[in-house]
This record gives sequence, C-alpha cells and structure tokens, in this order.
Amino acid sequence: MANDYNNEMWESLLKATVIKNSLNDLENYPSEKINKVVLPEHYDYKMKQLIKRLRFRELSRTTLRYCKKIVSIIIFITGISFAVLLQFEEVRAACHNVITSICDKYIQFSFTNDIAETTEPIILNYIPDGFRLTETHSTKLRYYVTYSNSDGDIIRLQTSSKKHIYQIDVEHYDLYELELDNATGQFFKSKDKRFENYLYWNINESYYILQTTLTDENEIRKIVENVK
Amino acid sequence: MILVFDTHEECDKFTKLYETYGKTIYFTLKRYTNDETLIEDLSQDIFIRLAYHLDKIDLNNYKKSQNYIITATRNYCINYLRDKSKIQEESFEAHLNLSSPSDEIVDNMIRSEDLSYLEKAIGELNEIYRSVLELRYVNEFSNEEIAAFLNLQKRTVETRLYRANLLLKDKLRGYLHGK
Repeated sequence: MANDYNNEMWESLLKATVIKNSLNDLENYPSEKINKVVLPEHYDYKMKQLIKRLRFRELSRTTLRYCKKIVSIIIFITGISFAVLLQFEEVRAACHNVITSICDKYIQFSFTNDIAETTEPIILNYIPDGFRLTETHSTKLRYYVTYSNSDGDIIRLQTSSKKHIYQIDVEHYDLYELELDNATGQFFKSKDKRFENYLYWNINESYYILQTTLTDENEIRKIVENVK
Repeated sequence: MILVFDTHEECDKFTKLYETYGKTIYFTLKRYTNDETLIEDLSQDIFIRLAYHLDKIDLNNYKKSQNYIITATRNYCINYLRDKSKIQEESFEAHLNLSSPSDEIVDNMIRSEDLSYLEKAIGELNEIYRSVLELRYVNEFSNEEIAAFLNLQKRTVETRLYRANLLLKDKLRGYLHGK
C-alpha cells in the first residue's frame, strides 16, 4: 500500500519536473527569432505538396465513403423492390425464363450420339401365301417386322447393327447349322410345338434373327435368302 | 506510414498546424542540423507523426501547443541523429547501483518540497532517456505511441523508461548522501 503510494508520488513528481524542465527550455526559445525565420522556398513547397496530397487523400476517402453508402442504399432498395415484384406470377415466370435461358446458354450442353435414329428397314421379297404384315417396329438399335396368317403362324424377322445375346433353352431345341446363300445360320429347331423356331445369321455387321412357327426348312431358307 | 484523415476538419487543423508552427519546427530542427534536405525530410516525418495526435494539440493554446511540438520535434530529431550516427547505448549497469529504489528518496523530496535535485538529475540524463520521459509526460504519449513516434520497439521504450527511473533515483540518492 505504502509502496503504491510512493510509486504514485514519484510518478507525479517526475511528471511535474519533466514538464517544468520542458517549459524552462521553452523560455529560452527566442520567439522573435522564430518569427523572423523565412522558410526556404523548396521547404515550403514540399510541405505544401504534402498538405495537398493529404487533402486529396481525405477527399478521395470521403468520396469513397459516400459512394459506398449510396451503393449500399441502391442495393438495399433494389433487393426490397425485387422481393416485392416476386410476388407477381408474371415476374416469377420472367425470372424463370431468364434463368432457363442462362442455363441453356452457359450450362446445358448438347450431345449427339453416333447411332442412327432408326435402323434401316428390311424387305422380305418372299412371304408364303396366306401371311400378311401385322407389325413393324424400328428403334435406334433394331428393326423388326412381323407377318402372320389366319392359322396363328408367325414369321418375325429382326435385324440389328449391334450384337445381342439370346438365351435359348436347348432342352426343347435341336441346334444345327443351316447353309444359306451367303452365310451360315444357326438354326434352333423347336421340339415342342408351343415354341417357335429361331434362325440366327449375320452378314457383315448386320445381325438377323428369324423367329417363326414354320417348320419347313426349305420354306425358311427361301424367306431368308430373299431378305433385302 | 500512410496517413489519411477521417474528416475535413482534421485536414484543416493539420494545415493550420503547419501555418502556425512550420517556422517553429524548422527553427528547432535547424538547431540540430544545417542539412536543408534532412530538415525537409525530418519536417515531413514530424508533421505526419503529429497528425496522428491532432486531438492532443490545442491550437487555441499557443504556448502549450508550441511546447508540445518543440518537445516532439526535438526528441524525434535527437533520436534520428543518434540512430544515424549509430551511437551504442552506453552500458547501463556500469553507472548504476542496482539496489531497489529507496522510498527515502521520495519521502525526502515531499518533505523538503524541493524538486531542484530531480530537475538537475533529469538535466543530466542521457538524451535517449530524457526523450522518452518528455514524450510520455509533456506529449502524453503511451508507450506504443512513443515507440511508433521514434521508430522503436515498444519493449525498448519500456526498458528506457524503467532505466530512466532507476538512473534518476540513483542520482538522487547520490545527491542526498552528499548533502
């Protein structure tokens, strides 16, 4: 406690003495001499340049401060106005359109595949009597055509530019090769009348499957050899 | 050190400070050096540094402001010239009996109401110690402000203030015992 008091007293005395010393020094300062001092031209110019520079900085800073305030107010008002406008369906629709067009322009990308839209149709130049066209179907990967007659027999021919895997239950089929005009086919002959026969062959990059209830191999060969 | 004024008033006050005390600063610096280029550079530095303490300068009180400005200018100049000449700080311990400062010194001064010994001791202090004391008590700078003003580390300012106190007490002890 006494120590704190002494420290405070010392600090006060020291402060008073330092100030007194400083004032004593100032007493010796010749005011008349100071007043008579003529500042060198270059010195005065340099100091005035400093003041000018500082004034410019102050002005720039003030301007910038006001600009920031104005921009903040504009952004705030715009935000509020936009929020109000969004209450209207027309505005929302317009915004949606804008966003969509931006997405279309900058985000969406288009991709064109190299697969043809449709597979080339096939023409069967020979169809047994009594059969008529009942169905044709074309996709990017395959084309098939179906003929049928009044007895319920069908002839369905499929073609595709892509190789497919067919799984056929061999338990109900006899499998052997069938020599055609310009290819060798794999013939899956059904042992059960409920199941259809399948003939599979390929020419170049085209793969063909004939699915039919006909059992006469010559008739089948004739149909196949007249496929164009 | 990039100085930018917050308000137009501060800028005006700074201009007035130069108009009123430009000659005082020039005259003070001229007492320490005759190099006009150096005076120009030091004046700029001092004005920029004073600009950070405009709130402490009362332009309506000429005498007080003049004292403030002269003290700041003198100490800045002394410190600059001292740094430039690379004078080594003299060994502190060599001059000092590092026993803890006695309360007897303060008691004695209070009793006698005599500050002449303290004045004398301050007058005999090395410039580097007197500078920090004057900036602290006349200019009312904090330790950080003194450090910024004199381009020193805050720790150096604290050390100089501490040493100044010890040196003064040591000198006073010597005076009292020699009385």
